[in-house]
Amino acid sequence: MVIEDEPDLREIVKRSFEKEAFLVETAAFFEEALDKIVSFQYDCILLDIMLPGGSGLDLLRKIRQKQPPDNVIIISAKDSLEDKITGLNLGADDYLPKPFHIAELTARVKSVLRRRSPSGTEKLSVGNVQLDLIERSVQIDSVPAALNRKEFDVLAFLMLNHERLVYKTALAEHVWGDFVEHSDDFDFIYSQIKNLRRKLNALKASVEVQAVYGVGYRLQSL
Amino acid sequence: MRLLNFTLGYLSIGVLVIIGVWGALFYFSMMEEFGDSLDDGLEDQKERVLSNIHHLDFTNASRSSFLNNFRITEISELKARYIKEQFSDTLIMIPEDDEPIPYRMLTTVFKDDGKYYKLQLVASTLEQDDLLERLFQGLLWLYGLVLLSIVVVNKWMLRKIWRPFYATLEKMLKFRIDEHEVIHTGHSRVREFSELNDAFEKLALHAVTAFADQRKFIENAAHELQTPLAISLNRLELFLESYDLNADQMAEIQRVIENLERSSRLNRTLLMLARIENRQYGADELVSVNEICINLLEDLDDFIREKDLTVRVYETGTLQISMNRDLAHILILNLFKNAIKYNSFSGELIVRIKSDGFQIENTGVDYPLEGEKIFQRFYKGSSDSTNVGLGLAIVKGIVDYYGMYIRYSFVNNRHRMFVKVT
Repeated sequence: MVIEDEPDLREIVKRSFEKEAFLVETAAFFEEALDKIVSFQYDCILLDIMLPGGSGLDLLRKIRQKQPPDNVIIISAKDSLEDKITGLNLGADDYLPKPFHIAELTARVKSVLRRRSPSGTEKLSVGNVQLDLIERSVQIDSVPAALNRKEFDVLAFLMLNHERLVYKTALAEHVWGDFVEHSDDFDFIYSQIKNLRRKLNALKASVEVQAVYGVGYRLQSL
Repeated sequence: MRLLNFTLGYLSIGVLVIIGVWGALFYFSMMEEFGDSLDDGLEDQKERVLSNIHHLDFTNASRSSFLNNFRITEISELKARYIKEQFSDTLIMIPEDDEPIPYRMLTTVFKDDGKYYKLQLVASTLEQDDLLERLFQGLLWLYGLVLLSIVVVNKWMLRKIWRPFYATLEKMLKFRIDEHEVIHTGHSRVREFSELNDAFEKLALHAVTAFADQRKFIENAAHELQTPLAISLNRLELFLESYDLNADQMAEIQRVIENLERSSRLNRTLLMLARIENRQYGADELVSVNEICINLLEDLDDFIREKDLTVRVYETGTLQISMNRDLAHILILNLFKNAIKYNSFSGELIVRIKSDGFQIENTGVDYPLEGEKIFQRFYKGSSDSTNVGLGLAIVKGIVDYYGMYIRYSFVNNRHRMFVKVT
């Protein structure tokens, strides 16, 4: 469920998650959102807290009152620490400030879903590659692979966006955070990707990191 | 020229003129008075002499000396006709004195017993002259005293009177439009000063408000701009995925994305700068620069190793600054990022931390950058056309906001950034 008053953004998010085979519903106003929340169960709700007609935080409270409560990721144009703390204290599962990359949103949603799943494990698995997010270890065909911190983060992000185009800025911002902001050259990514590819190849992983012409990367199943 | 001295100048000339003119008029009027009284005296004396003429024995000798202040000389009838009664000034040498003494003389003619006589009566004007000289001196003293008292009054009283003016003037000099303090000028009984104060208060208030509004506007505009930029970028992200594009088409889209990202970066930087200046960042706390530097160097390890840089840190003191923690972080991060980005491969990165400032040095191009210009927003180094020069703009924004000082220099073939806490 996408609760967002900006029509373009609603549409984009809907299209993106439909690619992931999600069923997506949308709401643009407080009343509309409230109706749907009360009537239906959702795996994940993307909530913009700046809504016309009412406060997104009130909707959050309503959601938390449900049994069981849906997963909520707050998206907000106000990148303020106070809002983030308030939101998380009220029970939101995550907080993503706007503007965000599609790949980032995808990764966050999938993470939230995985955390709340019955198995509750922190394991990611694509093809013959298994990632343990707590141990921060990687196994390819049960053979451990030695990845450094950044290579691990890159692989995790690509796996969460399996078969999707991950725009290089999205990858850079996810893995390297602040250090990338205001910067415009991403040479440092290339070396990590290169190493990652080498290691995946060496252990005969069933996935491959494809470079999408100067634009980004895609983890493709072979 | 200071106002005090200005008024003093005019006053002294004015007083000089007035006293001069008055003095001159007084002098001449005195002279006339003295002259008149002297002449009247001589007239009286003449009457007395003439009425007592028969008691005087003057026939036997011409009296040539001025005994009793008069002298009678026998003259011919012819001469007698030419002489008219008149006053004159003359100098007379009396043997007892060293020099001739000025006298006023009345000359007249009378007839006695068929004979004609010239009568000359004199009176000394020496004392009058002395008096007049004394008068003149007195006037000079008066002038001097008046001038002196004007100076004293000026300096002492007027300084006191002008104090509110100087207080307001000082406030004006200290006025900073980007500070949010409200200006309060003092109260004054002098109407001109209280009017000045009111005018200044109003002006300052108006200026500060307008400036703050302007800042807020920039912040809001930047904020609003984020949305269409983000949406454009997101759409293009999806677009690239959703359609089968060939390499050329992808390249085109990529270029569009690059420009949008550039706009987005610019916008985010402007937003940050506006937020800093609008005090949107939280409260200050005591942050340790040493700590932040060490942590950041750890975090930046990937980038450092990628360029094979040698890092050295010299801590000769603990630098603690009272500022917002996030901003401190951003400040140092940006300086490090530049020092890494513009470093040469296998270059050096040297950090020096003292108790009043810190320094970050890096190797790089072997010519100095333009010290003043690099901190200007939108300054681009010559080769890098995509760099919008904003990292340093943010650094400068933060440095300026906290009243710190930053300077770039090129020393020992290294680029050095020195930040000092004043």
